[in-house]
Order: sequence, then structure tokens, then C-alpha cells
Amino acid sequence: MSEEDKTQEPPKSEEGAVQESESQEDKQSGESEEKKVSTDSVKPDRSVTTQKTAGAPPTKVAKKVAKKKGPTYEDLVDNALLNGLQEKFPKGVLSGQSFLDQVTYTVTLDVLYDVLLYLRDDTDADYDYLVDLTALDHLDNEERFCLVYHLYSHKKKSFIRVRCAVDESESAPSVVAVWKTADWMEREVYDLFGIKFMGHPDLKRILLPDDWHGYPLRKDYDIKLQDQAWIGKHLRITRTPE
Amino acid sequence: MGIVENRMHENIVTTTVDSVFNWARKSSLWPMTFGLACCAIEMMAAGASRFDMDRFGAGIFRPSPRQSDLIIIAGTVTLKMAEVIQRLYDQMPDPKWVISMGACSSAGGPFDTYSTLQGVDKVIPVDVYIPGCPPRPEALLYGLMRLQDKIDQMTISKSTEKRQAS
Amino acid sequence: MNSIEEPTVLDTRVLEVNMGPQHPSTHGVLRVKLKLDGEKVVDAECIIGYLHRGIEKISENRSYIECVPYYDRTDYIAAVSNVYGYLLGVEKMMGIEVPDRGRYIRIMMVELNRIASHLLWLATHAIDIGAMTVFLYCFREREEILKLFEALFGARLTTHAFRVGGLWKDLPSGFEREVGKFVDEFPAHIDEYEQLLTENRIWLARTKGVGVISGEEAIEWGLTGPPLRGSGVDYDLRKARPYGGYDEFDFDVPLGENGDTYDRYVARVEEMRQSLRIIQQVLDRLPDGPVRGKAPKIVKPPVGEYYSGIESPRGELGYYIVSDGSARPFRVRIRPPTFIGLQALRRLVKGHLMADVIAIIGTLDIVLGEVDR
Repeated sequence: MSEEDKTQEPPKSEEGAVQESESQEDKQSGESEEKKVSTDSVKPDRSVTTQKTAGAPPTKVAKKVAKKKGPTYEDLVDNALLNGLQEKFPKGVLSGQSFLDQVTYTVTLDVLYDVLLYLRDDTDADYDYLVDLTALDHLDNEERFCLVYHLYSHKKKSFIRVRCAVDESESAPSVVAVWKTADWMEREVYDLFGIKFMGHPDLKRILLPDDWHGYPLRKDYDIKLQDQAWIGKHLRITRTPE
Repeated sequence: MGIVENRMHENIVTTTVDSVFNWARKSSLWPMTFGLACCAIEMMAAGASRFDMDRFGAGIFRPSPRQSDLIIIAGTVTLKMAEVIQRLYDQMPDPKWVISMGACSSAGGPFDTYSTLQGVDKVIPVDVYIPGCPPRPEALLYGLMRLQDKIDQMTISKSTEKRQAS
Repeated sequence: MNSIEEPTVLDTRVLEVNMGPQHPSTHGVLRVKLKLDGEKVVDAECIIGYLHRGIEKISENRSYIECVPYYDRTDYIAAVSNVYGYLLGVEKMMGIEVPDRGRYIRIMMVELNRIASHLLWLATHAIDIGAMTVFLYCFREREEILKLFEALFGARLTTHAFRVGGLWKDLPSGFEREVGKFVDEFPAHIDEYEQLLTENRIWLARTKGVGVISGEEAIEWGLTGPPLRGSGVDYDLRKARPYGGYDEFDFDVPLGENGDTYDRYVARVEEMRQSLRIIQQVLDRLPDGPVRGKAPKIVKPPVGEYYSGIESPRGELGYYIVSDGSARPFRVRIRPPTFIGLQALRRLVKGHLMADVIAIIGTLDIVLGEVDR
């Protein structure tokens, strides 16, 4: 444990500041935090950090100098795509940030579909390839989930990320009509997170059995929790564990 | 051709019925073509050029459970798949044997999760467990030979059955 | 019995046939629900998840280092590549530099793994279509590569190949010689496979014009790797977004023209030759020095997110790592190439014969461990 403490020492002093200013992940660690008993005492109290929502990282980057060596989120300056987006969707596009040379645009749910369609059709780059679509579960956040789209443009060889916060009660627009490849990705997100996609042609479970209960990748779902009702119905368990 | 040719007169052999049956059963096991995960790749390797499972009479992989008497559970058994395995096992004609290959099918392996069955022996009876993640092809061959030893102990006579029942 | 009316016209009905999950040519536990009109495929629906082991959930419950062996097991045929992609992401977030020797050895092993993976693909693809000999040949050479893996990593299949910051130890003595021997001998073996297949009439009949997809459509369906390049789209992450120092090596990206099963076969076979070229260059230029850079024992990437994409033998493999600053990942999303590519099966098989379904499943080179995770 002394090893761990030692490695933690340098960031400790900075951590609070860095988190408050740049992170949109600050509130999510609730669950994993509890398990790390040994490090609890060293950590700054995270409950004092901001209440910012998952999909809405701070629009202004704090000018506090983070002496920590690690990379930080930086606001985009004079970014053509961001300017174009903000012109077209003045209220919908919340921010454009760069982290480790990867650009993230954060948008609101009501313009999500239009933004993605715009990115595919109306920009110079033509983001014709949906690399990945997934979700994050920020359990304690006001808006619980965060959809993450990774897009790539074969023409401009440009790679971007679009984030959007979704609450548990809301459903997201389906982008199957924009990229066909979104079909299974959306089904997977529905299967594992329980986020519904409006307009999806065939939204049903994909990895787990159709009549399974629960959404395993949610943070409040225990990793070992098996649907006993499903097991009872479908399997003949002959040997029970001691 | 073989080492016994031209060395004996015409002859007969006396032995027990069990020996004949067991010899026949253990020397021509027909496994089912049934791969689940990583272990299946090693199972394929065991059947391919270098390791050549055919040497032990178990090289004819049958695509249908109805033609096979050995099922090698090679890989992680998820709950969704367990349902299928039950059905496949039911379809196999008796006598039938099960080899559980690898840590996952024996006890869940590293996947102690919501979707994984912790050991295939919860749903079907297993004759031989092979440890490893994945086991090497040699380990599978060794497991196969242990299964052959087990088959050698079988009997088709009634009396034992009664004795066991009582 | 007499009451049954005899049909006046011989009509056909659409028949639903289940293929899998236990089927010899589904490469594992894929289940395809086929709608057939006679021999012709009207529609196909894939049912997957029979190997869903919850690896993404496991990742959230393990430390960054403990996650690594699980990625061996997502794509067990290309385990070295899979671990490589994840570690590249973690190292990038942590700002860890891998020394040149470590980088070079990694590239060499990843390329060897690419060859081993393509060999396994060729073996199974050929045996599905009916060429048994190729299966035995391919496994013969694959064993040679696995022998090398065993010498360096200590395991054949699930190798746990690399560590954060590099490799866990330097090459054993004589290793470079053995690799050199393999590089010298292997081209003759590729010729051997090609002799058996490339101009074989049965092979041509079964693969030419089967499962044709255009470049634009392939992009729309999210195909990557050889299935995309078989359609003539030049997208190889080693060139498009170079990682790990691939831009220091000289190699070509083989492209197809027609986007059919045959072109994808040619692209993959050519890729094996290109991988050999890279390995040869590594052997020629392998520098001395340490194989592992400075890496902390407890890996704690700073708060943030990173998408690390690499070109695995099957296509674009991405790890989207989200860190909350703790010792466990907040989320590791694996972007599996074949999970996303398999969707295109529905589009590819439509209108083909039942027997072609086997060829098309083979040409997508799926690994169910990765499809289902």
C-alpha cells in the first residue's frame, strides 16, 4: 500500500482544482470509490466538486494553471467546424474541446439528430463513417446517461467525438437512417444501458436473451447479478453451489 | 502392413463382452464439432496437423449431435448458450461423454459475471475436466486418454447396475 | 385424406431455417435465421450474444492492469493486437513513452499475430468451402508462429503479450534468428496456398461475385479491415492514423476492386506478405536498449477520455477509455471490428444461394468472442 500512496502523492494537491475546472467525469466515481477502501483517506472530498452534467462539460476552461503533468481539456479556438456548428445550432452546441488531440463536441439532445445529419451532409469533411456509438452511465448526475458518437471522415481523414447527455426518462433519436451501421450499436446500448432510441427499426435486445431483466452496464447493476427468473425458466440447474 | 501380419496362425480370442465393447467405444470416439470460445481454437489445433487427434481415434468431428458420442465443451458457457447445450446434450445418443475443456467451462474461469454460467456441470454431467486457460492441445489429448481410461471401466452387465442402484 | 385439395400450381413458400448456434461453419456460436425461397436467401437475421461474457462490465471492476488479460480473450485469435490497442490508449493517457526497442518488438509481434490470424481465417474459410488440404497446411505454419509466441510470452494463444510501458522482458536468445527463419521460409508457403486456391476453378466459382459490396456501401455499413479494402477503399489505420510508430515502416495496403469474396481473399493473402515486409524491416533495424519504459506500478490515468484505434487483423479495433482518475477504468468500450462488420451479413447474403452464406460468413472473418464480448 505504501507504493500506492507514494504514487498518489504528487497529484493529490492538484486534484481538486483540476477536477473542478476541467472534468466532466468528476461525479461518476461514486461506486468505484467505495470499493477502494485504502485510498479513500487520501482522496479529496469529491462531493464539493461541481454539479455539472455529464454531457455538458464546462464551457469555459478555467485559467487555473494545472501543474499536474497530465493532459487537460482545452477549449477549441478558431475551429471552423465548431464555428459552423454554433452558427447553425446556437443553443444546441454547448462546447468544443480537445483532449489529447481528440476533439469532442457536446450538444444537447434536442438537436442531436440534426447535428449528426449536418456533420454527415453539410460540412466540408462529410463524416461518412460512424466509428462507434456507445454510452456512459453517470449515476449521480442530473442527466444520467451520456451518448458518445465517434465519427470519421474518409475524405478529410478527420476524427471527432460528439457527446450528448440523456436522462433516464428520455429517449434518444435513432441515427440508423443516417448511418446504417448504427443499427446494432443502438441495440447494444439499449440492451446494456436501457436507453431507448426513437425511430429504430427493430429495437430489441441483442447480446442478452430477449426476456432478460435489467441493464448490466448501468453502474447500479452488480456484476454478478444474474436474472434468476430467467435461469429458472430456461435452465435445468442440477448442481447448486455450496 | 502392421506388426501382427503374418505372425500367427488362424486364431480366436476369448475375452469379456465388456472388454470388446469398451475397446470399441473408447477407440472410436466421435466428438461433436462444437467450439465456444478460445479453447475451441486449441481444440482445432489439436485436430489439425501437428497434434492430430485422429491418432487416438477421436478425429472425426461430427457436425450433428445425433451422430456423436462425445461433446467437448470448449469455452465459456454463457447462460444464453447453456440452454442450447442442454438441448444438444439431450440429442446425443447414449452412451455419451462430456469433456469440460478449460477453466471457463469447468468453473466459470475469469468470467464471474452476470451472463456466465459458473461451470457447465451445473446443467450437464461432466466426465473429464481439463484445466488451463486455454489448455494446450496436449492437455486435451491427455484428457481424452483419461476419458478412454474411464470408458474402459464401464460395464454393460445388468448386475452392476443393480448393485449400484441398491 | 381425400379431402385435401391438390394444388393446381406448384408454388413455393418462404421457409425459415435456423443456422447455428451449433453449426460447424459459423465460426463459433453465431446463429443466423435465414428466410429461404427454395435455395435462395430472401433475408437473414443474425442472433448473437451466445458468448457475451460481460468483458466491458468486468473492465469497470478491475484495475487498468488487471483488465489486460481479458482483452486477450475478447479476440482470442488476435490476442496480441487486442492487448496492444488497449495499452497504446493507456500509455497515451498516462504520457508513458515506450523505448524504441520495445516499440519495434511490439510491432513485430503484432504483425506475426496478424499472419497467424489470417492463417486461421484462411484455414477455416477454405475448409468451409471444401478445401481440406489448406486447413492442414495453414495450421502447420501457424504452429511455427505460436512456437515463437510461446518462447517470448510463455503462452500460445492468450498471451498477455505486453505490459504498460513495453514488454515484460527482452527477447530470448536466438529469437531473432528464429523469426528470420520464419520470414525466409513463409513466402514459399503462401505460394503453396495460392497454388491450391487462387486459380482453382472450384474456389473461383465459390468466391467470385459472391457477396459483392461497393466501397460507399461498405463504409455505410461500418465495414473495416480487409472487407472494406476488398471493395477498394484505402483505409488502414496503420496509414490513416499511424500509431505506435508504424509510419517508420514501409509497406503497402493491398486493395481489391470488385468487393467480392475473392477480392477479400486476395487482399488478406497479400496482407500476409506485407506483414512479412514489416517484420523484416524490424529485424533489420532492431535497436538495442531497454524494452520497457518508466511506468508506475499503479496505473492511474488522469481524468479524461481517449479513443485508441488500431488496425487489428479484422479491421478497426477501438478502445474508448474513460478515466475518472481512479485506479479502475470508469468505462472501457471496445469497438470490435467484427461486431459492427457482421451487420453487413444481412446485406451481403441477400439473393445468394444458401451455400454462399457459408462463404460470406467466412469472408467477414468473425470471431464471436469479439462480436459478443
